[in-house]
Amino acid sequence: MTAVEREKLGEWLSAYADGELNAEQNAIIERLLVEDEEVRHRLDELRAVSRMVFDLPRHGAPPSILQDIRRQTERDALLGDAEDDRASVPGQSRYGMRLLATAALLAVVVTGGLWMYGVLPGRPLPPGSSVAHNTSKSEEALDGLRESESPESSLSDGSAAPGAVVADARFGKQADLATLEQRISRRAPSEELVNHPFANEMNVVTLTYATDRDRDGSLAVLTDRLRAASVEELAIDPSKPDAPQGGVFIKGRAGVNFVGPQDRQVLVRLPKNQVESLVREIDSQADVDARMQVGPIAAHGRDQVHQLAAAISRGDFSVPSEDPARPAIGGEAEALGDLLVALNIDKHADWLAPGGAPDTGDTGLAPPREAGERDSRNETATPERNGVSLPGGTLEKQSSDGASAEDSLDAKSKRSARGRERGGRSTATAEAPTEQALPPSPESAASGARDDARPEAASETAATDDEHEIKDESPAKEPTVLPVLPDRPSLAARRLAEVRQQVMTREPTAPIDASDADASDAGASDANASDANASDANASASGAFVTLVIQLVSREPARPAPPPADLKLPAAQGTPNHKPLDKVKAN
Amino acid sequence: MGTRHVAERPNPGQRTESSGRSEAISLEDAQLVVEVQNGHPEAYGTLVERYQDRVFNACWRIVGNLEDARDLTQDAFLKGFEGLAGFRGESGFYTWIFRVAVNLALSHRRSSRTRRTISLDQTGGAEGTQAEALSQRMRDEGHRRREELADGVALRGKVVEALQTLDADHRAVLVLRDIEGFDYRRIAEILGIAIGTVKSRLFRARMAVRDAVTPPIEQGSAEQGSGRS
Repeated sequence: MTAVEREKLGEWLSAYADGELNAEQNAIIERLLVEDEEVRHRLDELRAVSRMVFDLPRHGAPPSILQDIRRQTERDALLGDAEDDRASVPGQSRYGMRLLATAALLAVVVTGGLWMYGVLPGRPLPPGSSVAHNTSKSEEALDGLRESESPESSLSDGSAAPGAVVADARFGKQADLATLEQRISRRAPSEELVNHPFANEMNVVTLTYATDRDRDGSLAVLTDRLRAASVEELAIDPSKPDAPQGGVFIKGRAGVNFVGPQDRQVLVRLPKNQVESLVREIDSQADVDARMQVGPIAAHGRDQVHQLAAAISRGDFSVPSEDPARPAIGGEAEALGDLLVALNIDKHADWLAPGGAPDTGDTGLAPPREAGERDSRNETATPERNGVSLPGGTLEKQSSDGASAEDSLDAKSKRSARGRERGGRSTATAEAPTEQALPPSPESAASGARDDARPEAASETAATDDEHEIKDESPAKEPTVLPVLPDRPSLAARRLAEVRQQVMTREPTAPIDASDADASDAGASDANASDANASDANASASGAFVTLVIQLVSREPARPAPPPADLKLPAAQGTPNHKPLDKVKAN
Repeated sequence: MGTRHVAERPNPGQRTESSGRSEAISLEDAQLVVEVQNGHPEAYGTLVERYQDRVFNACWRIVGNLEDARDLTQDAFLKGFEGLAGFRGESGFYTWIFRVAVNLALSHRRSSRTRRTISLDQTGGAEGTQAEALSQRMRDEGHRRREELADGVALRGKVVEALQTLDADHRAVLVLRDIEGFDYRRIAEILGIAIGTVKSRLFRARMAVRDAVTPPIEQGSAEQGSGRS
């Protein structure tokens, strides 16, 4: 018998011992076993080895594994990651999810960045909000970020290590960072992470990614800008008189915080009265089929999301605290992330899926929605491939193929300049931070029209800017009661009754009619403006910030339900230039 | 974290999961998976409870480190949870989660390289076969402490040592078969290799362990016998 034959015989014997031979092979081996003592001996050896390995002691899994997994999955569920959306995900590849997370993250990050520096001139603000963009300062910051892009600070190869930004000595955050990283490393409960006590922080942007690679890669875009920015640009103290009064900005001392590779969230802490406009901003860019969650209260669909955001902005929402040591949210104590708002973005799945974007020319975008084509709000995600397009988004419209996020920022800056030239809100607010009731810019009107297109909008509104012409013929619709998520984990169950009661009865949620929407979008309501001014002042003074959790969720494209007979949706003219993050990063 | 025997430990010789009970468990698993996909994440806890011991143990035997095994097990289940939305049920959840876990463990093992391993895929040289080449190398390493094989404890230690000396691919096959009791088809599915590869790797791994634990005298006599044939 040759060596090869012996090897093959050994394999057959091994498989014979495992009962893995077919009948013919079995017969051969059994004949050999009868004829050859050595074959029997080798079989015995193989069986003995198998037994010895089998008899090795075994460890049961440490109980903490199950606890940690339950905690994590509960957290995901609470934030919307693991619940009802999950059922509609089959078929969504991990690759697609990563792309989705990455690209949606870019949109959020850049949006947040733009928001931070107050260069969203054409975007509506909350009613009368004191989002008094200090435009000149914002522009300076932006310019500083753009111009200081240097090779040595570039991390665009995705090599940014977690904590690279916050570990920067300029931020003086080492101590806090170490604590946070310890919590991450021991997989601390999300509450601990969310409530991580960063000293001196007023605004925190927490970026969480599906994978380390996603985190490192996409964060590089923001990291570059942060690292290149001066301390003065970053370490803005909103309590100072000359500080921008609104918007979300990254404060240097807070830096960028990471929550961990298992998560797919972006946490943005922002003043309460900014929630609504940020939601609307994201809504306009991502065509979200949103689900927002504040504590145990969940809002499904655009209607409810906007309703809830409006309630938060008005300050008529609070969450009591079960812990005597921690005052109820809604007062002074809500400064640090006590209010958790989750907003799902799930509309980019299709064009981010493997196989690329639908054929939309050079833009990489879905074709614009046809006039009269219904929106997909309050439904599960409906991808562009199924006929729902992305509405014109500020970010995407301004970036072109091959353009980087930086280009987007630059374009945004130019747009800001255009807005100022048109006498838009940004200039006015910069010059007169307390003046809130400003006429809407064309762009804000357009955005407002998009919001008006929702069921709660009552009247036909036509809005036109240089990029959009949107008509709304949507009928008025009563606001929907904010539901609680079914089968919510225990946290929601505990707080459900009292919170729901408060939310629904403290200040009856007025129907968001057209006037409300208009006021909200255009900032034209004096009354609202006053309220918001007061609210904003309080927010700035007391640090009444909320944590906005923008969660990136991938869904399987769902068939849109038949549209209501009385619902007509606007057609988004123009094709926003959505671009996957990886393309942006490549540049 | 004490050592204990895991419930539902497969019985050697009858270790493939083809019984009606296994099918019933698979159905239960499928129902739980559907529940999770339908927005009931708490159902995932049941799946974790059901398989965490076996996943942990397999990870432990592959990476040889309890702490790493713990992290890998947790990571595997969390990844499983994240990926459950895309789980189509073409294989059982048990097989699927093992695939996740074993791939994580193999990646970890390959990346850490904390131990010297012997590739069984290298050609055998003068002896002509891979198994023999490995056996020779294992014998060389094993000469130092042959005496310790006198008692069972030492034998067990030797088996563990032999396991750790195997390269990760062969160790994984051995663990999945002789510890976890997967049949060849499932092992092939989990590891993404052909059934023929499973057969050959398993044989080589077993022979390597045999050579590591068997006194040289017995080996010599066995090989003489083998040579006669």
